Amino acid sequence: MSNKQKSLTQKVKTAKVVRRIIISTFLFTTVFTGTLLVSEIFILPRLTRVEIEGSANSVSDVQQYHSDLTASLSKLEQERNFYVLPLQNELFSAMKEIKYGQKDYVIQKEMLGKAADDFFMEGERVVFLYSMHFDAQDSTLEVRGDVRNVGPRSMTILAQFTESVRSLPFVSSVQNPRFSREYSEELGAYSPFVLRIHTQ
Amino acid sequence: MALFSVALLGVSKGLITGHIGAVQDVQNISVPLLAEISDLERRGTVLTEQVELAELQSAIRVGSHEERMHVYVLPTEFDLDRIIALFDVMSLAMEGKDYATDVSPIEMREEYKVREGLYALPVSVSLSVRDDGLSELLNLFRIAGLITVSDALNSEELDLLFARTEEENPAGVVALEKFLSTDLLEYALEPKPVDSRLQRSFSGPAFMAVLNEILNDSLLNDSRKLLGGHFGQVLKQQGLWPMPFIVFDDITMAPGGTDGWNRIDLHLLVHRRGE
Repeated sequence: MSNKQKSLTQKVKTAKVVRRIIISTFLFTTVFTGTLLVSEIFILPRLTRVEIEGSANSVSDVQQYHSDLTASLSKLEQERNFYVLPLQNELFSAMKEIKYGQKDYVIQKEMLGKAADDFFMEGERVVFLYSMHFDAQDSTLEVRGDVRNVGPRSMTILAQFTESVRSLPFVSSVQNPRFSREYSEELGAYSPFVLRIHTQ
Repeated sequence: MALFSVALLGVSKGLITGHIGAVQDVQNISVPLLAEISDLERRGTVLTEQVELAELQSAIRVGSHEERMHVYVLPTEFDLDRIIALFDVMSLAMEGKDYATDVSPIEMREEYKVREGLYALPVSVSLSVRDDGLSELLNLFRIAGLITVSDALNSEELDLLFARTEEENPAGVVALEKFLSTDLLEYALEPKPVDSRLQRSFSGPAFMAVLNEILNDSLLNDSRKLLGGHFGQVLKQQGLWPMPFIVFDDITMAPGGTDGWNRIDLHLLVHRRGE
């Protein structure tokens, strides 16, 4: 058999196989798609519905019911608070919020004092605080003081004190102070500082 | 026919994906929401009961705190007599306990408009205060302007009390209403009967734990300490309660000349409402 004849026979065989496969594939896909369509329209909605108060609900119904219920609870809560809380006045409530937002400055002062007292070198205090200025409107605090009794290491101790202040629970952020070493006859080498603190 | 089969396969793929999505939606959305819904429905029943009880209770409530707020706390005109008298009583009480000394003259600047319907009068005073008197001094101004027990509790503390009431005894909302509407000064002067009336309505440990935590950690505790003694009696006798609404503007604290003493510069804002 020549090569040409061989190729022709092969093509005829392939065409026969394809024709047979197409019919069965067509039948399969038609039945399969039909079954899925029936399931999509009639079976799936029944299986995926959940029952609330005796009625079947789709996913979107459940979501809607949940959000309606949450809204009605919040309304009921407001209504209850209206009757239970003795004074409902918009201005007074807003003013109280300002008051609640103002911090316990004594606790902040004590924490800063303790942070300064933690720095001791050879039995001597090292960090001295001159003043604390609490700005209640901006929630900021300005601390003035100096580091002394540590010779030329005063700037290093100031950096450590700044880090110690930064870790206090009421502190949101601390603006780094200006690091300088000055000399006076009374104090020797010392580093004066101003710490600007944003409180939480 | 072949093309039609391919198209049907494509449709089938889409339908299978849809089926998987629908099942996943039930698993991820419906089932968790359903679990929440039963809790929410239960809470709805409790809240409805509480609203009915609270409504009945409010109908028999005597006296209006709103009127006191309008007359004394946020009046339409600054009552300088009352403001000065309050500072006078404060400094005398602090000096009497040896908590304060060197009280400066009280300075008042021009009032200014904070926002529509609200004005502030800046008031400044300096004094030397002992360490143990500092809290008392500042707490006075933290309390100034509050009228009832509920005012000394912030929204988180109130929410906590309401939540525990819902869980333990929904009908206890009546006792809670009485507790919260008690005048803060009356409460500070005699807290035990008010506390025990509330405690009688709740026997469970969870409510008691929350109540004790609030009584110890909130501004209510500071109010009891400050107003519960002679100072509270003086405020009552001199008709200085409720106090005008005062907030801090700024405070400067510096070590005083003697150990354990501080020099305090207080800048405060007394408020009034617009006409």
